[in-house]
Amino acid sequence: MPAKHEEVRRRVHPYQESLYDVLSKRWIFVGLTVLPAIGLFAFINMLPMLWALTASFFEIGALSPEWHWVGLENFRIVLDDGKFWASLFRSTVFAGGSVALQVTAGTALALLLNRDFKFKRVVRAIALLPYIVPTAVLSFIALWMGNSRYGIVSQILHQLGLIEQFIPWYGSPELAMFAVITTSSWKFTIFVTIIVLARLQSIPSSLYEAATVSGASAYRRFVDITLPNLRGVLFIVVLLRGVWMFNKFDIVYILTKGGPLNKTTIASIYAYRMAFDQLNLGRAAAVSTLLFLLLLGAAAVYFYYFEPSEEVRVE
Amino acid sequence: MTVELTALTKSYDIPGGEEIAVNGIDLEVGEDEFVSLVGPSGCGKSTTLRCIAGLETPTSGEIRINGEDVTDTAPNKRGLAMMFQDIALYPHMTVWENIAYPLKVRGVSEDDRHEEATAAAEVMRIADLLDKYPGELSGGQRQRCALARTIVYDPKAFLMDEPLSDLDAKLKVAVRKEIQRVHDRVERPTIYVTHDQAEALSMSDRVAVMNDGELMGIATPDEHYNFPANKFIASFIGNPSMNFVTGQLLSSSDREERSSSGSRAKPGDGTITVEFHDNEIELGATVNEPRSETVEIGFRPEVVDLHADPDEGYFEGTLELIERIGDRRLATIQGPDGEIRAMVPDSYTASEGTQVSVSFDERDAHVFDDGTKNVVGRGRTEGAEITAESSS
Amino acid sequence: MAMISERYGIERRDALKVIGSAAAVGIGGVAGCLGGESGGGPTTASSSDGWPDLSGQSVHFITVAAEDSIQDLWQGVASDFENDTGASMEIEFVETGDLTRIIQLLQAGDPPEVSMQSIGEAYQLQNRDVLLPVDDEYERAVNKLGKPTESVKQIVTVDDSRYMVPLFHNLNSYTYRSDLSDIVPDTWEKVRQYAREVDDQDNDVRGTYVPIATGSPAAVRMVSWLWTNGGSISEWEDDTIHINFHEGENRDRMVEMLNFLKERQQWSPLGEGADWADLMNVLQSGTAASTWYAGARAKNEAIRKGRPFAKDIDITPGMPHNRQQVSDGSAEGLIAYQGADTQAAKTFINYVVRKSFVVEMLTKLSPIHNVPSYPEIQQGEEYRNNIQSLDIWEGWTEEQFDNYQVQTLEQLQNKTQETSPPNPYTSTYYSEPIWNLQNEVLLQDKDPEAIIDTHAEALQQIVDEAQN
Repeated sequence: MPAKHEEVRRRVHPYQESLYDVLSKRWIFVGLTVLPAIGLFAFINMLPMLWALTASFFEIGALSPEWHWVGLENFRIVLDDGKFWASLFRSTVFAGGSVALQVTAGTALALLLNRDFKFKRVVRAIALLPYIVPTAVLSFIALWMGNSRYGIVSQILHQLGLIEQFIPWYGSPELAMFAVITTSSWKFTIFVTIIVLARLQSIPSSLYEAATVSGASAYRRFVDITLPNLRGVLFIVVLLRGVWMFNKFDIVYILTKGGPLNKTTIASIYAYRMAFDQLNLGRAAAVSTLLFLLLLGAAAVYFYYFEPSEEVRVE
Repeated sequence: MTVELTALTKSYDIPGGEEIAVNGIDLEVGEDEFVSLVGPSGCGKSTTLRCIAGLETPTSGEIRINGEDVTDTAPNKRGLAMMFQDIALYPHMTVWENIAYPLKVRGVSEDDRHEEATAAAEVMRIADLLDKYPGELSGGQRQRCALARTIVYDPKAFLMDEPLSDLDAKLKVAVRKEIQRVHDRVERPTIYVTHDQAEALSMSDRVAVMNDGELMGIATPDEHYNFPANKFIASFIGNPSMNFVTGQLLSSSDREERSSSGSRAKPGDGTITVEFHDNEIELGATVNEPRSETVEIGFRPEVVDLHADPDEGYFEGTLELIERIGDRRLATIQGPDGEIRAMVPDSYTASEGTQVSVSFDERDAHVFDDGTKNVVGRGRTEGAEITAESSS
Repeated sequence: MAMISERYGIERRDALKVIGSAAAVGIGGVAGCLGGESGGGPTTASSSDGWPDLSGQSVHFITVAAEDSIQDLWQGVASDFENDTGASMEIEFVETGDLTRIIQLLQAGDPPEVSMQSIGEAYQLQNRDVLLPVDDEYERAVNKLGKPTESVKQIVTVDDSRYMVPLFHNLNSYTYRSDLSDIVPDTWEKVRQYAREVDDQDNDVRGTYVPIATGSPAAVRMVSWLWTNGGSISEWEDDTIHINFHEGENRDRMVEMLNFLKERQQWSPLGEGADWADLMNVLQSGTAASTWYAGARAKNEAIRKGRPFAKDIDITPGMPHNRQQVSDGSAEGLIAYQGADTQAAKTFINYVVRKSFVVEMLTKLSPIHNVPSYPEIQQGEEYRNNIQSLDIWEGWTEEQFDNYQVQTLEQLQNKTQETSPPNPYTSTYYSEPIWNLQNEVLLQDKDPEAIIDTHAEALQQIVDEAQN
């Protein structure tokens, strides 16, 4: 090792040599590799968070840069607003429904893709497609598919004789929430699949073989080996997807704009309207801050309750 | 309880044809018999075992357990126990849950399961580890745990797929003993797959040697060692492995005079005369008729003698290497047909690079037909046999 | 937010700007006071074409432009502007027509110089004292492009100052297929008759289309139909805006209008989840025979799709009326911001508002649908020749064209102009209560009488907040 070091030294130009010296210093190296990431994180994540946190204590008209200190007034008004609580409830329904659907369907798809069958590659590509297509594009495709007059979904159901009249998936007060949950799951299910599939493939096949020879049926093998091995990743997946879906804005806004009759006005849309329709940035920031605190609390409870360190036991 | 294989064949479709992994194997493992499947990697021994377990579906042939045809029975309905090379303990279950798992799938109550698992763990001397996870165990403890899992219920047969190959030499010996202890205790047919011939020889009642999907022979360890049925077995069994020199067939007794004792040659059987390096030797004829003029004469390193006088041996060679093997030394000589290995006493003093003359005890020589590779003649060694143990 | 903004080269806000921003504002202010006929700007050395030297200054311009041809057009004029003045241009194309991007820039203390905005947004911005008066630029436009009509003249004038140079309009009107019925649906009654007659015919085409929308289509539709029924939404009460659609006679007008919408549902395909795109496509797809639309796109779309009936699609001049002949229409134009490079901003407006550019823009930006603000342009040979050389002209007749374009300038009234002086809060409060009032009737069959007060109160609350 030292010999090699010397050899490198001999070969390099003096400038390179001093560069080499500098880079060899542990803290400089750590700094150069880690700092950009931290800096970027601070710039992209921390600053807007701090901005929103600060803004929530001010009254800010969107059209003027002047800020007026109002203390907790924004929070008081928001917490007093029935619409906020209603939107929070809808966010919970949306996030809960989406996570349930995505985790179930995503795990099922992963289990399917973990087997060998003829059109595996095709199925995998089709499943991955919605995830790489931009949200806006996917949403517009979904809007066409669910259109009340010519949507392909209704057309197919109609031709199968399952429905008599076309169904306005995104326009019906009864179905809109279900429809946006389904659409968002259409896009994000593959995320669950990718992570679960990676875990599935890391389970040694001998575990299944040992269980099989021991007399375990396919069902028992799933319950006793697959599921316990998936607990760790499912824990993470539920957390991540839960947080992301709770904060989701774009796909819902494009699909329904929060309608019809506010049935899909989730908290993020409530905040958006507060900011850009009612031009009340301070109050919108208060909504964001409340959502942030709520998620923080929920995540803490989640961690405390499920003790991931116990669950993520991998040999 | 018995396990029987009849014409078992397994082939895989590969691009441009098919690959035969197991080619028409017949094997019968008797009640409480310990049979090893041994051979170089890729010889089909593991595939054979997995067919018995039901983890692979044979292309053709029949598998019977206790006389009952199980070829089409689902693996979880065959009532077997199996140990895997990577042990395959469930990492998310404690030791006792692992051990008791076969009982769980059989619907045994938790109390009974715990009791049985504790009993099995006591047999394997790991009762104090019941509440630990596999990740917290040492290699040997894991092996014991896996063994306990196989004896916790009453399987019809034990299947072991190279369970010791990941252990170090010392642990290997220890766990080997445990396996034999378990086998003696449960009295069930055990089929043990290994690539290590020494392991197979030391543990088994009989050893089935496989190569390229074919069964090369099945016999007791001593039989394989002393009377190898063909050149493959001769070279595979025994360490250091058998020496071979090329020779010419001079004469051979007629068919009816040949041995009545299979691949052995008893006094009174016919003879076969071969020539090599200007030496002519006469040996007993085995049941196999020579098919070609060229033969190979095999002799184990243990029966080789080295002489300083060139006239004392059959041929000469250069002493290339001398290394210590236990209480003796292994000499490697570069001879006219290639490398010759000889076990010499500790007192042997010739130095590397000197010319030596090689001789061997004809009574322990084997002649293999160069075409069929089957043994066609050997020394008439009834009585004084070299035991396999001395080779390991 | 699904906003794609594209920034194009041309360095802006360089070090000079940062150091000298205060000075720049000062210069702009002086230019403004001098009445800045910047065309022959006396302040600095002029280039050969008579444009002032704006080296070191920059213009950040924001506009909606989804199509490449429009983006190219703006890029072209921007680079000419740079060549002629030495200013640096940054054009930003946004995808949605709302104020999202403007708000970001205002909050950052870095307003753009100029943007293209709707009249409602302009009032909203002016009301917050963000805009720069552009009286001189407007005068110049009139000199170059001709006198506008009375209704256009009023646009964004507050306390005798003018804050927008209008460029084009659309008019709420009723688009219908004349090949399916001889009825001209220019009154509510005839709208009913037309819908009933066509709907009874033995084909898949429904009589009319009643969209159920969340967002601007619902708000615009409400205003259009309500006005033709003699109703109103708001009034000034002293110096605050008061919601009055649930009071007195207005209440009856509103209820009647909502019931009219509901009645027409029987001849309409499902209207749930509708957006502007659905309205635009409902005729060309053969789903319905008539629809309200804020402009002429429903016809243009049928022409683009090559529908055989495209030529037979007529547009009523203005909205079908019941009690009153009036039609809500839009106005889009250029506005300039305080606290930016004001001299450069005004010069840019002057530079762009030329006959040749305006004509070219209106031949490319939703042609025919967008009506030039200036009759002389509209009647002029250049614009007409350009329009008539377009592919879509095939589906139009001179009569249809005039019916829509001339009427637009004559009938146009904007939602801000419901009150006098104009209401600067319309963009803020045409929100949830407005669309949900309609949607509860259309989706849930609720009795308008029963729900009108709740929504009026909710709307009043939003207006109060906005005025606060």
